Amino acid sequence: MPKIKIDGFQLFCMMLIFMFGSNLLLTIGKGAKQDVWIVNLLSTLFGCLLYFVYISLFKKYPDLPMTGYIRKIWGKYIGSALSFLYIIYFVYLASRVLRDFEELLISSTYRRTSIITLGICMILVIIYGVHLGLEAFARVACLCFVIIIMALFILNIMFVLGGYTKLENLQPVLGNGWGMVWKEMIPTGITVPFGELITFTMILPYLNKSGSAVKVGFFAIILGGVSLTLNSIMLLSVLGPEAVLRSNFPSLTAVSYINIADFIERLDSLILILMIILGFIKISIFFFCAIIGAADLFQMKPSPIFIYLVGGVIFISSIMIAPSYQAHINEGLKIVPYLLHLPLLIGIPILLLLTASIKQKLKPAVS
Amino acid sequence: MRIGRFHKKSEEKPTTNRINDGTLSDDMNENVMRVKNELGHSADLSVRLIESPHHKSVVHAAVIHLDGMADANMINENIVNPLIEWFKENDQILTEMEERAGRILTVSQLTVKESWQELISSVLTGDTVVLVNGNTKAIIASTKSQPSRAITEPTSQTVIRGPKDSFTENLRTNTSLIRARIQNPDVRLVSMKVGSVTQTDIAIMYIQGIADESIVKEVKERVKGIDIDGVLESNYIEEMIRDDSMTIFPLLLNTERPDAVVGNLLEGRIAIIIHGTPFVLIVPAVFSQFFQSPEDYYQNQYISSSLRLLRFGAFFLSMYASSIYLALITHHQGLIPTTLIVSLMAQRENVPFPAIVEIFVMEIAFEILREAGIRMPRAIGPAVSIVGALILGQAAVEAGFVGAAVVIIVAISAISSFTLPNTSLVNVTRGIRFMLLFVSAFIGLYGVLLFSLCILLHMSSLRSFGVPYFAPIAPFRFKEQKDVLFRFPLPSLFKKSSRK
Amino acid sequence: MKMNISLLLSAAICLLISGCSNYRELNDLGVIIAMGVDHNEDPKQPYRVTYQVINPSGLSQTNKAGGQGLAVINYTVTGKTLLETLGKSASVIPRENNTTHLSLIIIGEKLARNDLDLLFDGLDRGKYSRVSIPIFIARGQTAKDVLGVIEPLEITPGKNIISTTQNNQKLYGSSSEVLAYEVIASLLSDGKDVSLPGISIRNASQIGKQTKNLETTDPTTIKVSGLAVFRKGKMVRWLDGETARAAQFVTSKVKNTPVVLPCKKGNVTITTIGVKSKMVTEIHHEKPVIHSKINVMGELLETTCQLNFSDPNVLKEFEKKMVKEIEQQIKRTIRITQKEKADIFGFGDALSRTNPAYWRENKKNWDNLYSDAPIALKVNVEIINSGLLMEPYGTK
Repeated sequence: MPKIKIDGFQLFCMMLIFMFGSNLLLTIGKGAKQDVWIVNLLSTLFGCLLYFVYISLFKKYPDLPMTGYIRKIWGKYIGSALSFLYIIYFVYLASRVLRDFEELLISSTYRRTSIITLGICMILVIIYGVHLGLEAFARVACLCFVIIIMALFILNIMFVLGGYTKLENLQPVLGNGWGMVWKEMIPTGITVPFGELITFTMILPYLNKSGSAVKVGFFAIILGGVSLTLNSIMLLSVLGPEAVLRSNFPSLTAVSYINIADFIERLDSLILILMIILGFIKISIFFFCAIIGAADLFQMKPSPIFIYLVGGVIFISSIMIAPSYQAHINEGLKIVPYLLHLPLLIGIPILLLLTASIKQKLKPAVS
Repeated sequence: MRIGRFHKKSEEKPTTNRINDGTLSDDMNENVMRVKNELGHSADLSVRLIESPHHKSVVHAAVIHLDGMADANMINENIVNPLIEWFKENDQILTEMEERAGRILTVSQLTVKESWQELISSVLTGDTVVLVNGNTKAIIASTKSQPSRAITEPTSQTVIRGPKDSFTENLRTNTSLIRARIQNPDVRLVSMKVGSVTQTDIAIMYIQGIADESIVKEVKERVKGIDIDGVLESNYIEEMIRDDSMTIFPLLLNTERPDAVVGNLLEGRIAIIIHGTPFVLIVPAVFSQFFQSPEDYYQNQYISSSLRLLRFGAFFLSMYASSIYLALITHHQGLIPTTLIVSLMAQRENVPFPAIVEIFVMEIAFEILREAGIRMPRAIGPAVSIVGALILGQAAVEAGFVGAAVVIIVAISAISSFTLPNTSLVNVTRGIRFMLLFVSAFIGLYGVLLFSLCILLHMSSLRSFGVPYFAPIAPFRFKEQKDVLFRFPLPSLFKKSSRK
Repeated sequence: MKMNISLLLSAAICLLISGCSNYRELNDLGVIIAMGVDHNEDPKQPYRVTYQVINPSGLSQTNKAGGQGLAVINYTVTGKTLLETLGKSASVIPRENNTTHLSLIIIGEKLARNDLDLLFDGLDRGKYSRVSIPIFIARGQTAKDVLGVIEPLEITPGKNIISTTQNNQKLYGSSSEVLAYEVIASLLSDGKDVSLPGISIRNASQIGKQTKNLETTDPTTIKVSGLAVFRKGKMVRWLDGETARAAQFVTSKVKNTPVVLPCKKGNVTITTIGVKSKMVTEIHHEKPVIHSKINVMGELLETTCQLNFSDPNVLKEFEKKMVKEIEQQIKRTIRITQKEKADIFGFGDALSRTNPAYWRENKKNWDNLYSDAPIALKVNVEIINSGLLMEPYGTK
């Protein structure tokens, strides 16, 4: 169906950056204190399971995005309603991530600039990217991937060389028992970022070799999970569990500690650059999913005006979504996971897979 | 001045269309008159009538050529002289001249034409037309000899070690420079004429079997499809056939070095050679090619790899130095080390202008200097650059108009742009530098970053004759990385083409 | 094409609405590089804060127009909270204050003895400054006075205080730089108390605040003196000289320091070249025991006794002597802190890592447990050489 194609490596880059996205910024699961990394590691396992569900669905319908096969499986009316719900959901997620990054900028260097200006600049670039299409965007994701990996590598080297890592901060392992770990992992740890990979069910049909989706996907999830675990270990050992918990943006705080020989210091900008790139990629992917979904649902070609419209909605809702950052985070950690993430990211896909499998088994019997 | 005529088709179009019809008459005098009329009794049209030695006012033949476009010696000795000699002996009307002309005229290339259009265009390209009484056919002798410059050293793409010849304005010289380097029967040369008025010769050159057939076809079609009055330089062609007409990035490579063209032909690219300019176009071009200098292959791989990285670095420095400086001192004072910001503050203490004005004025001043340096008569050039660079900069700092740091930044961004081997990319850095400057004044590093993302997005969407502009980095092709950021040793590079 | 035009339009709109941008000219900035916080007598305005602002024209060497004035200017403001004083400072500082380059904070002793607890909250919220800056206690003086001293050797007083402390840490080790985030971490923790380096004015006189101070060879300067010990955010006492240094031994913050040992008729000086320590708190019969394992490497670099160092046994003997000396010093210091119930070393934190269950039960009572805990030291000294000479020259 789609003309434009992306290759396996581009998918890999997009998935990995997507997973780094909010996680690197907010350190999901920091409520588990010293055991954040256990949360991350275990979530990776569950993430693999979840991706297995997504990929099985994709294998059954390799040419269709999720909004497409949802209608095939559950019929026109329920399917269309759910597809529409997913599109709205993607738009909502995009605006949530946009808000995260606006807040990051406001609270670091742009405290006198209005959130509207920052948001408009970001959303314009994203609209431009979406306008140019998935192919160009995937190429940029590859380039960004290299930049991100290099920046992360340099930062971690600095932490180690500068002697900022105190491994004793990791002790005691499981000092607070498994309780907190489970609580942090379900639902937040699993849904963000692994559950959010459901977005890629919209993008997978564009893969040039659909067979590589399994291999590339699992490789990206495992690698991403491991790097997130390593990253949380690094943050914990630099900051200590208390500071990680207290800080709104732990990686920003950790980087601000770096001061090597009074020369390599004030590296906050490096992490900001990193975060903006991550945010850009993540929001764009949600945006693409919404556009692909809408194009599929309404059987139309995405016109520039439509892209502008969706972009505008994302921007405005990012501002309106919450009165303050605290409310925004609260919403993100306490309400959204239960109300939206769990059913939409885990419940519906599993049910879909079940229905599809049953249908497939029944079909030969009927015919 | 030249642009004014473009795309003004229609009524006032020059007379080229009138001659398209008709064949020659058998009355030679009529034909000669008609040639004169067609060319408007042009002053440089030379018509030598060969009269009968015995009968007055009987003309046997006419030798027509454009003075200056053809080799006069050759015409005298190989055309006019034999004809006179022949008519001395055979004072009669020459018939069956297709057969006899070959025996009489001692010219290497002879053709026989019947239509007016061909006749006139032969005259215009410098060939000599021999009209013989009683014949409706014209003999065309190839006597082209246009004024041309000697082969000299390249002026814009110089190397220390490597060939020192460069293309000239003459198409034939240029193709021969390339031919001399690849003596292979697979080299193909397709000739075309572009420009409805100028009828400029264009040659498309590629190596059969290495070049991609579909791209060759695409190039031919695009060149054929060009609708333009005149072609004076390769850029006329470049702008007409590139994929995206609005981009600031060069989508075709241009070079004045024959060795560079040959290297690209060997890599499967296609050269477009245009008569009248020493710059040859190469398609398809990808971004990383603009950082490759021919010299990369003429010296040790470690040196050339590090030099290539240096060029990449210089490219970024040239675009970003001034805007990042501006962003730091106006938006992100907290990111500058304390000792540095103290000295920057001390420098700027008495500067009366805002930082953006200060740096913008300096950048503009530099552009003026550069432009002046190029347009100046050679003899005054060095004087201007010394006055501009040293005296102006020094005086401006001392007078307190600008801070010393700004002068350093502007100088660095300017000088680093000169490390790039290709001038089309230098112009890109100039354009982007100014755009970045404004973005940076507006919203600091955030804007610089977002704008860079825009540029990246734009570049990723570009294609040059179907090839993604960022190939082989994005889309990433592992096997083609040997000659992108680093130059691998030549043995490993050449395995690639022999496999094909 | 349409896309490009609309992008340009939107960019233009952005430019128009950017009235509240971050754009600041360097000439309009008052860069605050140091801050001194003092106790104010007025209970309505309990803080008196001194901001030290850079004066660029005083700093530049090449400036044609200037060169006049001092490198820094101090502005003092009183207020209820730190941020209120920052706001109020705008009424005395002629330029927009910028705290991103704040490089140290000095706290007056009186304020430190009152309370330190929530002083750093404004700093930690992070919008105004970094938290990786050192904090000092002005010993016996106000922070305002300490910041007022004009330094001959370094450009700004702040820079001078930092480099003096770092130098002291490197070459003597009686105190070390403590960064704001470490202070905050200690304040938050139940198992560790704050200790901060003290600074005072040497040779105090009125001249210290004037340029005249630069024209004498015996100027008023700043001196690093002692280690302030805190208990639950309140300063309780000073540790000085060797007692302060012993505290640094336990936390292995000292690296090079001379230890003087007596011999027959004089002294032997052994300079340490590396100290590594490990703190462990163990539970014996439901009571914590403080363990500290310290490895010291040293060089014997000066002696006034007649000793033959070519005999390895002599060095061995001094190793033993040094072990005893260091143990004694450390024990004395730990005892003092136990008496004050101030666990400045973080033995409580060490316990919370190895035995979280016990810690959870007893952390409320930790200061009492700490003050009664027995000390078990294990010091190991290795003298690796005796300088370039074997034997000293004798006065025969």
